[in-house]
Amino acid sequence: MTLSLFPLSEGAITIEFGEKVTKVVNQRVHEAAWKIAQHPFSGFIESVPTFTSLTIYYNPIIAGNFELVCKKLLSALSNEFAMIDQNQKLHRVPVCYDVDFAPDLLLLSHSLNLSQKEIIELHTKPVYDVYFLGFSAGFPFLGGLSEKLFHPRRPSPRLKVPAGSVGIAGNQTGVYPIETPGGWQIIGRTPLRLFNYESNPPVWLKPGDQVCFYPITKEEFFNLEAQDEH
Amino acid sequence: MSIKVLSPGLYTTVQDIGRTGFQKYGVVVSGAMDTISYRLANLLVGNFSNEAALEITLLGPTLLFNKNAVISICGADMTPKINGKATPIGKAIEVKKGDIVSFGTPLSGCRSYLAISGGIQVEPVLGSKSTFVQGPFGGYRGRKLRKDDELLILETWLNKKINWRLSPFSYSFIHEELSPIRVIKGKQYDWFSASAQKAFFKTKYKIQSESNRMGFRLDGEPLYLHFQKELITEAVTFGSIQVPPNGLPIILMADRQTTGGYPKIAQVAAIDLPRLAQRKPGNSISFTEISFNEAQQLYIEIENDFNSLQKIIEYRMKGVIHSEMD
Repeated sequence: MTLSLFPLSEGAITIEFGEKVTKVVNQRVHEAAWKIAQHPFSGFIESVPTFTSLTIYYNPIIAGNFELVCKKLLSALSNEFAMIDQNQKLHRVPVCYDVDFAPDLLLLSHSLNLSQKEIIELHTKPVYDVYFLGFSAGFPFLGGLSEKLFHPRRPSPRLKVPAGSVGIAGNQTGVYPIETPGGWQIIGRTPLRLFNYESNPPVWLKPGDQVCFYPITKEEFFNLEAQDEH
Repeated sequence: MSIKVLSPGLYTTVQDIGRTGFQKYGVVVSGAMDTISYRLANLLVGNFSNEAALEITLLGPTLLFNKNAVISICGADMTPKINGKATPIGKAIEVKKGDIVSFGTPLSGCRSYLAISGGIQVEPVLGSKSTFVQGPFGGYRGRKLRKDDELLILETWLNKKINWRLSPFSYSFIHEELSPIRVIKGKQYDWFSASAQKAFFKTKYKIQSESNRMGFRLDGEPLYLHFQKELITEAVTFGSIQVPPNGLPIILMADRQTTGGYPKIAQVAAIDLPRLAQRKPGNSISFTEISFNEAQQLYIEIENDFNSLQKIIEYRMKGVIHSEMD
C-alpha cells in the first residue's frame, strides 16, 4: 500500500490512502486514525478523516518538524494490529418521506422516471457507510447510494434547509444535522438529532459507522421528535 | 452582571484559542483571528494565553464596567478610552466600577482583543469558549454582542502599579500593510495552469466586502486549472487558499468548514496569519512564495520567541493582580 504524506500546513499533514473513493480505501483511513489514536505522539492534536485521506493536526513546537512527524506517523501505521471492535455501529435512521418533508421527491420522481414508492424503496434498501463527517457539524458523507437515484443538486441552493432533512446530490445521499443553506434535493426528514453540542461526542453518526434508513409516518415522526427532545 | 454592553460595536464576539479535538465530527475550530494579539492581551492581565477574551472588529463596543477589573487591549490600535480619556494598548489597565470603556476607529489593522483578568465567564461548549455563529453555539449565546448584553467577569484589581507595557514592536506587524503575504505552494498547486500560477503571484488582489471570519474572498485575475478535474473532498485549515470554479481565490479563516472540495493553490504561512487577519475588505493583498521548510522553521522560531516573552510577562505579573477568588 503506497501512502503519500503532504504538509497541508506547518501543523498539519494529509495522508493519502488511495485515489478512488471506495469502501476499502475509506476503511484504511479509519484504521489509520484508530492506530494513531491508540498511541498518540507527543504534540498530536487531532485527526480528520475524509473519503480517501486522513489529516493529522499537530504542534510542531512539541512534536518536531514535518520530517520527524512523518517518521512517527509511518511507525504508528506500520503497527500490525488491525482495528478490532472499533465500536462501529449500524444506525437505523427513521425518515418520513411525506410530501411536507420531501419538497423535491416529486421532481425526482419525474426526473428519474421512478415512482415515489420506488425511490423510497431504493433509498431504504442499502446499508450505507459513513465515510466521514464534514461540511457542517455532524453532516455525514454516505457511501452506497443506488445508481438509479443519482441526481444533480439544485441549480441554486435553498436559503434554509430544515434540520434533519435527507437529501441527494450527485452520487451522494446525506442528512442535514442543523438548519443551513443547501443545494441538495430533499426527499425526506428524520426527527432524530444528528448533532447536539451539549453531548460528548456531539454526534450520533460517527465516521466509519453504518446507516440504513427506514420509512415512518408523519405521526411517528412527531412522536419520535417529541421523545428525542429529552 | 459585571459588564453591560452599551453599544456592541460592529462585530464583537467572545473567542478563545479555538475548539480543537472535534474537527472529525465536522465541528469548526473558530477562535481568535489574530492569535498573536489575542494571546498577548491575555498574558498582559495574568491570564493563560488561551483564556476567553473579546474579539473586536473595526468599530469597537462601548462597555460599562459594574465591577473593578484589570484589562488589556492588544492588536489594532482603535484609540481606546476610559471615560472618554485615551488609554494605551499593550498594557494592563485598571478599570473601576462605573467606568466606561469605548473605542474610536482603528489607526491601522481591524481587529483588537480586549482581555480581562480571570477571563470572560461563559459556559464552554465542547471544551472551548469560542463563538461559532453558524452553529450557533459557544461564546456568548452563540452570537455577536448586542446592546444591553451583560457579561460576567471576576472582580480583579492591581496590587502594584504597573510601569511597563508591551513594546509596540510586538504588534508592529499590523502596520506592514504593503508587504506581500508569504504562502506555501498548495496541495493542488500543480493542477493550475502555468499562467494561473504566474497570475497568482503577480496579481494585487482586493479583499471583497463578502469576506468574514469564515474566509476572505478575493477579487482579481481568475485562476483556472490545466484541465477540468474534481477534487475529492479533503481537510482544509486556517490559511488554506482554495479556488472555486469561478477562479477567484478564497482564503479560509477561523470559522472555515473542516473539509472542502475546491482545489487549494496555496497555504498562507502561519507566521503571516496574524498580519493577514488584520486586513479588511477593500484592502489589497499580494502573495509571495516561501518554501514549506522555511515557513515551518520560522514558525517554530517565532513560537519559541513567543514562549520566552510569555515567561518574562508571567514573571513580571506575579502577584500583581488580586482577584475576588483569592
